[in-house]
Amino acid sequence: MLTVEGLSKSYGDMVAIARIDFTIEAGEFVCIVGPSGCGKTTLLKCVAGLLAPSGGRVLLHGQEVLKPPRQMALVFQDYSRSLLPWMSVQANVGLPLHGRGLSGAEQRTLVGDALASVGLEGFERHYPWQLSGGMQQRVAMARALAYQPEILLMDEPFASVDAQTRSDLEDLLLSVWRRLRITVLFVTHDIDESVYLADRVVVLGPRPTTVDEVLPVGLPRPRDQVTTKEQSEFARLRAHIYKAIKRTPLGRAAEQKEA
Amino acid sequence: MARRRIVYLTLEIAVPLLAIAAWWWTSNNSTSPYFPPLSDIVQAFRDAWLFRHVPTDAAPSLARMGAGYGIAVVIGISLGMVLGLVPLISRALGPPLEFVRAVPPPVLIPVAILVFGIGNSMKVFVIVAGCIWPILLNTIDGVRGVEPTMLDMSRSYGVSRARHWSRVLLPAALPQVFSGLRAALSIALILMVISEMVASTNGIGFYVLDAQRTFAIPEMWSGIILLGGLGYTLNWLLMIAERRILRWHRGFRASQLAAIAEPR
Repeated sequence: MLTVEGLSKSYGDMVAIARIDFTIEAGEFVCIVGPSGCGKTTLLKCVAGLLAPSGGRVLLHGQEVLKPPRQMALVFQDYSRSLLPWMSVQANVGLPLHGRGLSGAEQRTLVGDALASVGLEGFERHYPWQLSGGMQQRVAMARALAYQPEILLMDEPFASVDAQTRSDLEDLLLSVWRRLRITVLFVTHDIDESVYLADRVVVLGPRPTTVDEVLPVGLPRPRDQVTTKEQSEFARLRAHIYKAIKRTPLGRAAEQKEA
Repeated sequence: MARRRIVYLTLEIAVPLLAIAAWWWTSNNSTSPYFPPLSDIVQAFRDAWLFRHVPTDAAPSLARMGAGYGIAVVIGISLGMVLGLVPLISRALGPPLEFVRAVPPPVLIPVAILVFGIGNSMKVFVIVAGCIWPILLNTIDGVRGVEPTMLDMSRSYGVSRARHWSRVLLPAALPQVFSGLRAALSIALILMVISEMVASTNGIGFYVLDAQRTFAIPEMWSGIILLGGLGYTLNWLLMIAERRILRWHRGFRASQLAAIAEPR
């Protein structure tokens, strides 16, 4: 369904992405994981049609992506900047629905359904900033779902919420994904998160970025924060990616910085 | 907290009252022709502005100021949004804009008289020419400062151009636009008065100058007091509008500060 073909991106002489190839099948949940600073956000912006690649191309159903396609919805890491603080929750979720030939009632239904699917009924009239971080990111998810995309692109969406909220949001995302049968491309720097969520994990190397490997995750579904993470297969995959990323110079640098 | 608020409120009411009382007392036996007793000024104010001179002087003044300020707001905001969106244009226009802005607006009056004569259009032009700059420059800044993530969001969700401008760009720039609107309002009042003093046959500015020339000193003071009250009221109205329109901004900022103080 989505093919990334020899994609590269340079800024002047600086090569951010050297070459990236991967494909995603309809209905798949694919995570992209890599060391910080490896150009994950740049890659996602190219896929989303927000940034023109320097080389290669992105194909959606065989069509080259040249501008943001109608079939994709993007969830940003920073909900406080991607949600509009002057609009109510309802208006934020409904903003992309105008100009699509939908009646007011149809728009309200879409907004209501989307908010219900992320458990935010009753918060329609609140402003985003009146809600907790986790709830704000759920508003952003609802906006993406109301848009009725085929592919959900997520850029480290849970990186700025606390650990408890984060696992709740992961499980919420998995249940929404199963129910709506959409495709998800999820960028993260968190190895555990990528293994827990994905059907396949695309492991990126350091800059200039290439694909290190694509790892299938055979863990059974539905997944569970306790039992899935207890399985030896989870530990094996986690350790495998961990070594792959720490092997890279940037991973080592990050390790040294943390130490 | 509540007690402090009561103290503030009391002071806010008491200090002006005390000042008026002090003026009244000290000027009560004044024999100076230039500083007449406040009672005389109040009498003159009542005669002139309740409401004999309202249709002949106050109304034309307000109409000129309203027209000039209104035109400046519309042109300033719409032009500012366009210029702010095109970095190249705003870069290139930067120095000339700063120069034109640095020209003291009253100096345009002679030019405006040549072009427009001494009628209303001259005065409206001078007001527009003076108070458009803070609005224009603040709007440009505001639009340039919009969060890139918001622009990406708007683009990736295919928000239509009209809605992008009205629901994303304009509100995002509004906090800055309002500081331009506040600065422009006081400039508009100043230019309204000056243009009426230089060349006019009516208006509050004309009234004050005419009263001075005919030694109607209490009347002159009454015009000055009217202008002070007018400026105060207009500022207050703008502040109310800003509070209502930017209510989200205060809440948003408070939530951001709270997030910094206590990291999730």
